Amino acid sequence: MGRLEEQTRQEEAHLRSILATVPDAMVVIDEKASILSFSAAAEKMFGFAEAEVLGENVSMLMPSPDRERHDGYMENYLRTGERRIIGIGRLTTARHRDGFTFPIELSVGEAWVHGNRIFTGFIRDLTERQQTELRLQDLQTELAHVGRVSEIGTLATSLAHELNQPLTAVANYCEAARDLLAADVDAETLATVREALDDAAKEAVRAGQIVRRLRDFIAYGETERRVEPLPRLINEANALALVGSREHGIDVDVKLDPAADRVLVDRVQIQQVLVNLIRNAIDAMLETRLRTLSIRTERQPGGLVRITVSDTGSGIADEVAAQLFQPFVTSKEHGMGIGLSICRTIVEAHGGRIWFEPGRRGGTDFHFTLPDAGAADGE
Amino acid sequence: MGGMNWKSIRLELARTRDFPNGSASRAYLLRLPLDRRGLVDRSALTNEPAQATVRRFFPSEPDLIGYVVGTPEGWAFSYGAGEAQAHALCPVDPRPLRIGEHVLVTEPDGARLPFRVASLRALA
Repeated sequence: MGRLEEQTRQEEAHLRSILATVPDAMVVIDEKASILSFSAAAEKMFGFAEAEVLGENVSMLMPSPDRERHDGYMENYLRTGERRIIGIGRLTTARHRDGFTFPIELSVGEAWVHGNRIFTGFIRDLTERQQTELRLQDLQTELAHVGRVSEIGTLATSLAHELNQPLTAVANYCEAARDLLAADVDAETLATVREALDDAAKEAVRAGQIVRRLRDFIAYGETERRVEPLPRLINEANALALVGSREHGIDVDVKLDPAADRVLVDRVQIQQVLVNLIRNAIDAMLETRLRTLSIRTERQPGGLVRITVSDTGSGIADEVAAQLFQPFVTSKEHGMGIGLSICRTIVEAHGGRIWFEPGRRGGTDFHFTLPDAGAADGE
Repeated sequence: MGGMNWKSIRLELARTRDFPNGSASRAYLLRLPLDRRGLVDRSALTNEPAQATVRRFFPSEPDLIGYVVGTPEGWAFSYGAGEAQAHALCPVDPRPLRIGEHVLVTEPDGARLPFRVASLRALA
């Protein structure tokens, strides 16, 4: 054996020993996206043995639309050197052999080995509980408004308290007025009744202000509208919403309209809407055998983009459906019933509309619209 | 519900000229009611048509999602009218589905390819 060959062999053995012990999954590919190595952790994470995937295109580990777009992403990088993921890291989704989609944190490194360029992907499965909780905390800091939602639990308790006061006062004033009117009515009594009703009206207005404060707190904070790439916004929100869902084996089907590429939105708020709708969709499917979550986008006439989140659950009962977007209406045992009313507030503040309808084959489709920001330049 | 005979079945491309060792990355995932012989249970399929799904995963291609439907000859994959497919209805050999068995699947482009039953597990 030649010296060089021996050296190569040793380097390879060294690399393999590292690969076997790295806790994150590691996948190495060449410039054509063919898999060159697949670590033990990757085997466990994806359900494929290394021998089965060597030489295959790495897109096999991704759900649509990344699956069909990945070759294009690589081509673009090789041509322009423009980094969209290398050295940056990203929250995205991957597909298991059994078909379900799970959230991952992906970072990619680039290296030259014996004159060949290789890319190494480090993949952390965000569904693993311990990591999930840590990462979730980070994400909640990052997504400030999502953090706000968790504050809303506390807020709602104090609001309920606060609301109780004016409502009790309204009830008392009305009862007093009724009692006064039951007896003989003289001018003095009428004046008192008028006063009581004035006070009742004031208290009702106060209750309204308290409710408005909740809406302001949730939606009209520091909004920052920018032109955002819709596919990325959806991908991240999807990954975030899927955290903790691995055990439920959710099949995710994402189909994005290439013409609906960019929207003018506050990214954090819209991701909050998406996370909310996707979590609801997952919750709706826990009792059903078929668990397919679909996300669709479609460019609409009139400068709008429509986003649809569908589930294959058992649908929404009529009595709940009638007031679904009202605050504090819920069909969930532990739900606050404010998720969808927040969604509506956010979407309407963006000049869009949110609505739902029964799915074609059962389940529910939630739609909302956002302002279209036109197609990206040069893409 | 249809009882205990619903399965999740993974078909992977078997040996072909282009892939002498087959290919684990070219796969179909099915949800189907099977009878004891491993054949599609037609009555269960008729009762809950929306439950019998097919998903096709090929590298670098968009996922296809559709339904498994009964046909006079046996059964087929239907990817629906929404997808602009030349072959919206893709017949499958009506052979028993057991681990290791091969079935011929008509691809959306009309080619007939052999697939191997790679895994089969019961759905709750």
